[in-house]
Amino acid sequence: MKRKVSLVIKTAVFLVMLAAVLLAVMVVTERKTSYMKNKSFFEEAKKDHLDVLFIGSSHVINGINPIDLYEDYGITSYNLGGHGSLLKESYWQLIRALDYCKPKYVVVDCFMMDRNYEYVDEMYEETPEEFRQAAISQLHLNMDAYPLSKLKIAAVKDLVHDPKIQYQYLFDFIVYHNRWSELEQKDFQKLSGDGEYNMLMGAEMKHELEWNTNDMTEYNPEERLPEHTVCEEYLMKIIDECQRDGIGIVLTYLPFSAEVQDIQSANSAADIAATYGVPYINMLNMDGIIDPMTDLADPGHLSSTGAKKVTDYIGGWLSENANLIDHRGDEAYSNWDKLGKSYNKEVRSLSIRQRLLTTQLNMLTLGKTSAIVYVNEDSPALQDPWFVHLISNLTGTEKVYEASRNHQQYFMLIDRATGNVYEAADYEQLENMSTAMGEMTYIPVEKRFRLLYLTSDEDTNFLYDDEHLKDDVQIMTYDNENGEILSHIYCESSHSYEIDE
Amino acid sequence: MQLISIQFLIFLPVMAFIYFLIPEKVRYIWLFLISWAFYLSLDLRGFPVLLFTSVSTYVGGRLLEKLEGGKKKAVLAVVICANLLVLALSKYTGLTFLSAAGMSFFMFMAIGYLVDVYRGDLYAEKNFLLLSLFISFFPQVTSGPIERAGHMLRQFRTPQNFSYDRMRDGLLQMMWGYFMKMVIADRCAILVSSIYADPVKYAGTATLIASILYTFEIYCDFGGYSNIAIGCAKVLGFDLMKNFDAPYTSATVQEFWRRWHISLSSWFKDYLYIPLGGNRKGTVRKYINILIVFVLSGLWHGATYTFAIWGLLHGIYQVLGHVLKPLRDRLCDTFNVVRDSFSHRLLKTLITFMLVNIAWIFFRVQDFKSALYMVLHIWKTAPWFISKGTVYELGLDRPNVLLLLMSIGLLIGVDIANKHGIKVAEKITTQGIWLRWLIYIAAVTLIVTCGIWGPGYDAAGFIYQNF
Repeated sequence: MKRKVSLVIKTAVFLVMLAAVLLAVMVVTERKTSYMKNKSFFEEAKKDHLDVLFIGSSHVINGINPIDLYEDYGITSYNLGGHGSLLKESYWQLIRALDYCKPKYVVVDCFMMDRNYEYVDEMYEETPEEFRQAAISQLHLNMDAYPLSKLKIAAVKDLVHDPKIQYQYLFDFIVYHNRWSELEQKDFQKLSGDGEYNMLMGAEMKHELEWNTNDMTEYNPEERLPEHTVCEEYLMKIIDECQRDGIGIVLTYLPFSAEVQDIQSANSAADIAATYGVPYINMLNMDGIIDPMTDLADPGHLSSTGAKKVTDYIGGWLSENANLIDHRGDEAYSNWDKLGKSYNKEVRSLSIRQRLLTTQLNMLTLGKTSAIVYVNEDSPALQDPWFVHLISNLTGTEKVYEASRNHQQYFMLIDRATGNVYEAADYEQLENMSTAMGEMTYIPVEKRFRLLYLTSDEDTNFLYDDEHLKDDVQIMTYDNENGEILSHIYCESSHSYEIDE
Repeated sequence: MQLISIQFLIFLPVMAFIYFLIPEKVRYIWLFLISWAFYLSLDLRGFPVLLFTSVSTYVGGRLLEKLEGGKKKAVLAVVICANLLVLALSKYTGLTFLSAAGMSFFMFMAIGYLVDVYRGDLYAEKNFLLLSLFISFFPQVTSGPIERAGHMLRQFRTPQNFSYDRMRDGLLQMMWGYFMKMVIADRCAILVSSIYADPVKYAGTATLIASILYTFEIYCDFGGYSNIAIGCAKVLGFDLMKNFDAPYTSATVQEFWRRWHISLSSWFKDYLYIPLGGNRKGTVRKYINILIVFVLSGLWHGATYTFAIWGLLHGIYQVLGHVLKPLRDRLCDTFNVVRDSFSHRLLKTLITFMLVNIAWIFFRVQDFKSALYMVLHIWKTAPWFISKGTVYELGLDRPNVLLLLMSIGLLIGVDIANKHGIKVAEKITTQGIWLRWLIYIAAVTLIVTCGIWGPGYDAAGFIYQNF
């Protein structure tokens, strides 16, 4: 009898130890994207710090920056957008989120409202397999961080048809155990709770610009979706849910290079908004919100500069219409201030050196560093409308177009501390430029030789380097406050816009 | 329900718990019900075939006991032929409604029982449920071992009580089976499938590696299943016969067949080779008998002629082994080869391994042409397949290849130890508690984490389940 008792106890202890080890293995092997995205959501929701929730697709993830919204308007929000998320997924995302918090406002983006299929693992009959697989994988971002619950099971069953695929959301170790061969330090850090996480309250900024080759489709306000879609149905459910819970709701259609079905969706969303009497911000038909040449990272997604503008617009709208408390200065929200500082530091660091010349110029518009740009008179870049547009966007003047038209060399200095912008085309000289570096002088001497020096130190020419004679574009960045030079970038634009490390 | 499934891992402890609570005398009824339920969950459409075999075997056995002379022989012939006809129609004519999971296995068990009753080696079982349980016992119904009725019916009639040590040993054996199947076999299968899909595309070394990995895949797939089945039966208090005994450590093809799929080769020996005359009717007849047995053994696996070639090759290996023995002896004497030396035994083992390996190529390929290509090309060295990293582009990245090599190394080590009488499982269970538990936990973690399972892999299917 004694032996039996001892065996039972030993077996129980063994099973507990085994379970603990397996649990640790599950934590380590789990893909961290969902955890990283939602960690702050759970923390802030627990503290009842979230006044606004943003839901939608990757357009929302890349288009709304809650940290900017807090810094500029004091509004605390979370970006719950999901890559490839249809409104049906957004509905379940909202329902799950409402289990953790009760926001004052929900902002729903209506992109992909034209999609008319029930299940992400089936889509349309003719959908290529890789699209299906991508959707199955993307749904994990919304699902994994949430613990197993009746609600999660209901969501999975509603979104995924194949029971075998459903299991991978309910017990994600089924798919993630295969990650054993690709584990990184951050995977193990989750065990101690100090792993990396999203520091933009769910948002992800796209800084790199990809040349937008799509022409913008002309906006026709008469276009409508040809049939009532599943996503329209779920948009209505979202509105119903918010109205039932007394949560304010606003619909949006964030800007991008829209096609016909997007314009149809945007107009049909307007009809739904009108039917329910909810506000609707359709940025597809609003001129002047974004500049497609600088504010789209790719045809479908906003760049960080685009996100800044869109977030600013939404912030303004919420401030005027939503009666939300400005939490800036409230000690309880000091974490948001820390994240703001951290983000500004990151943007400053990204403004110093980028991979591509175009991205570099665009990042400078965010004003985290001051900059000097010099372009040779025979530079191919000056004949590139995109490049010229980026410079013009940075200075806010048309001067660079003059240099471009006349094949002249071009110089520009933008000093953030003083707010001064200096420009010169051809052989124009600039003297006594007031900058954080000190008083400066620019003198173009000949085609391949020009002077840029501190008035107090004429011997140091910043714009000449024997080793970079072939490079036709130079960019210098310096600290806004103390004038310390942060980077000096050279590029041979005839070769490519890639910047050497 | 597959032996590799979460459902099975829940099913086994629950059914075992109930099993040991039930009075001994009626435990077989629970096992019978569970076995049929297990089979129904596995292959609902194949159940009528299992039912047919169970009923015909039961009735046949009872008649055999009552009849004498020609009638007895006729009954034996009719029942065996009826079962073999169903098997043949299913396998060779593609009549899918006659196919059933594991039919080659349970029909051979049934035939063995009938022959035993006919010979008078066994009394006919009067209890239909007991006989049906023997045919459909859930751990072995789909892929064996092909048990003998005398061995199993006795155990079903007098079941063992729960034993902690037996359970632990059974679980350890199951764990080793899962390791073989999920960590080695299914990992090998990824690379093997890539190359065997179109061997002509690959350099010689690639085909050699694919053939060697398939040799390990089939062993770990079937050996893994056998270990899971035997371990599972052990948990319930039943001893199933050993099915594999370190086969790739064999120094001759003859020895290989004493260590590979032991339950089938001993079945063929008992119920075909010996009735054909065995080695009692002269050398030529013996060789013919060997060839017949091995060709039939090949055909047992399926209707494809490549299976027959595989069997024939093994038959030829054995016949040549006998024919060339005087020559081999003379060569050894001439060169003063010390037969017991390690180097000589190693050489023999490697040659046997390569002979078996070549035969497996015919077992795996889709057509004879591909097999011939592989056999001719595996000798052409192309080391850049490894040095340039092409090997990592066939579904297994570097860590996976490394893990596979280490696992195969462990397998070989354990098999060599077993061959020399060192029982690794026993060595583990006699260690101190901390080391023992460390090994158990590490093993489960390894299998669960590094095993090939989940979406994208048909890890649940065992190769031999198709036979």
